[in-house]
Amino acid sequence: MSRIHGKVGAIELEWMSPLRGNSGQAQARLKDGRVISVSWNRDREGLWIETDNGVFGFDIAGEATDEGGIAYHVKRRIAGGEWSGLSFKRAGEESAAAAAGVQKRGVRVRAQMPGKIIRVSVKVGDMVEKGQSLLVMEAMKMENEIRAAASGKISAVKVTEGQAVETGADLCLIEPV
Amino acid sequence: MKKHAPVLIANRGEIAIRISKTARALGFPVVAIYSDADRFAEHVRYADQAYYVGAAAPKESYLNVERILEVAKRSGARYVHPGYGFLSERPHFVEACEKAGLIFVGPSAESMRLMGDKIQARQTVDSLKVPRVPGSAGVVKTWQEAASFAKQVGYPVLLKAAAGGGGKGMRRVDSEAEISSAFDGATREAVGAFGDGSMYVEKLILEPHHVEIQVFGDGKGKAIHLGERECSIQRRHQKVWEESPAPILNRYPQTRPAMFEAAVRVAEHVRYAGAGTFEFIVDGKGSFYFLEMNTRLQVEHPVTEWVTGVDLVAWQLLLAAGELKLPASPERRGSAIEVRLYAEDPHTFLPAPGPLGLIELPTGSFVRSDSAFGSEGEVTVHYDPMISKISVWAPTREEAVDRLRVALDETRVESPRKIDGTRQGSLRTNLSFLRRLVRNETVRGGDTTTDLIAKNPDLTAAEATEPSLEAALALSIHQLLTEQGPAVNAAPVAAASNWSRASWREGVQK
Repeated sequence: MSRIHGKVGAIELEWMSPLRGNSGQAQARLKDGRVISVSWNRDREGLWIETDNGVFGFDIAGEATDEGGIAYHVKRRIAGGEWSGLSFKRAGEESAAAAAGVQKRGVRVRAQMPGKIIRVSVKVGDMVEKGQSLLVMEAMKMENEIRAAASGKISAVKVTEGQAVETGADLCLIEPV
Repeated sequence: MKKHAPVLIANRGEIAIRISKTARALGFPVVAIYSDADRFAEHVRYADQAYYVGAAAPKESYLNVERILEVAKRSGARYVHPGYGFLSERPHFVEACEKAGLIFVGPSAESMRLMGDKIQARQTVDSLKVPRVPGSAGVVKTWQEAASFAKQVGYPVLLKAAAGGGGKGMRRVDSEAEISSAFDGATREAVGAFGDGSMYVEKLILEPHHVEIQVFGDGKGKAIHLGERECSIQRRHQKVWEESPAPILNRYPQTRPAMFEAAVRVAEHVRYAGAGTFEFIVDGKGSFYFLEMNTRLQVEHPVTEWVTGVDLVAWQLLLAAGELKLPASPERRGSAIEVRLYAEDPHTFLPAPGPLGLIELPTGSFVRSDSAFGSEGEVTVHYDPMISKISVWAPTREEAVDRLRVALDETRVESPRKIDGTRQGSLRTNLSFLRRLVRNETVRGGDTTTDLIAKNPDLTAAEATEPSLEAALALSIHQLLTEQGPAVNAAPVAAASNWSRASWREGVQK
């Protein structure tokens, strides 16, 4: 399959030929039928592109999502402009996932930095409101309250008071109800 | 160039580098110290000699007086510059240096005691009739004691660690219901950070502007001021944007000379030596209240250097060497602004240290970067997560803000990438917050109070999710290529950096 059709946010793109290599050129057809010619030059942090409108640079960093995919944070170089949670979704990808009945696993509350758990204020089975304090963690010599990012039921608590945790460690899980 | 005896810099990061540059220019050889976490840190590379002092924990290394003095002796250093933080405001360190035959670059232990300890400082300024915010007469030992004081002056009040600084061990309390848990939390934080949980309470001033006066004393009873800095834009009680002149004092021009006079009066009274800063709160009506004195060089000293043309570190070193004759207060020109680039989440301001894969700092006319990093490295969890300070100068404030906007748009700080294009490690920076700040209408207008961030939720709101056409094109190309394989130089070739090799390995092993 040489043509790849998909969407970034609300912008529909159809790549007319395969994309290959750290630098290259390709044509993209937009929803309104307009065809844009794009050259690119990739580097470690992102890429520069050239279109009829000029040259644009972006730093792009992926972030693993709770659903097992990757969402990208995109920052325009030199000029400013920043977006988060972007990804190129191939046509059919979203509907296929919906059809397969992908279940929401809930919200994982993770440590954003290494530190020590000072207090755990919830236990399995507790109902929590968005914004409610779940734990107190000491990191960088400061006490930080960790609050619920969503309302729901605590389905797991993975840490105890006094425990040291590393970045990214699961602290607890909030299940939607 | 005149030759001087070596100076040991008892610090790390950007300030150690900044001091090194001036010391070397003046002919003072530089002795650096480092901990386990800093063996190849930038500040070590800037030194003529560098000595290991201990483990990563500050009390084992940068607070380890015995080891530092041992190293000073071994290196042949004659002067000790403490920088800011760490041992810079500990009178016992000053005395230990003197006892070891070293010259401490800063005030005497006695003036440090008179002004550095917050409770002692209040008695000193009271005796000189300098106004200050109503506060408890001394340390409050229990939350009940704090509550009874709060009842007298009215809520809101502020709990503050007596040994504190930088917002640690500090809590705002709005009602009696909160005071007991706030007291416990602040005490615990203060014990952890400073080893001293003593607390005091003061009334919270509303519509507050933070304005501070830079002074310089000769240690013999003469002092001058070097203008003011306004540092009203703060998050978590820590400054993030500092500027001179202070916009609030431009609205109350009669306040400025009164503050200068008060600061110089106190500095002369305590026979202050070297660079020091008097911090004040100025309320919305132009009244000022003394907060505290910092008996050291401040993080934001570049702002003063821009408007006065004075190299404050040069003055400190020359005073210590007995070669400075204190001049009259320098004339001040134009407008300068500094922002602090931190490794922290731009929405929550929680520290977010981690490996740093790429850093590009702004350059150009009247732009200055004071950085802890010249290339890749790691922002460690052990110390303050500041990455760089970026400052600019222009003839007017408006032009300075525009110059800063461009400087911030040029700045890049990126995590290393894994082979699948995701970031390696947990580094975040407040760069996107700073870019919003410089575009904010209140900030541009100059009427900033210390609650600016709370009043402007758009400064910390989530990023947009609907991209521009170019961003969408670039992202889709990047994603499709990344799904096929690693980006440029992701393969471990000899010229690749440690970080790209590490990210390659991590990607492969995943």
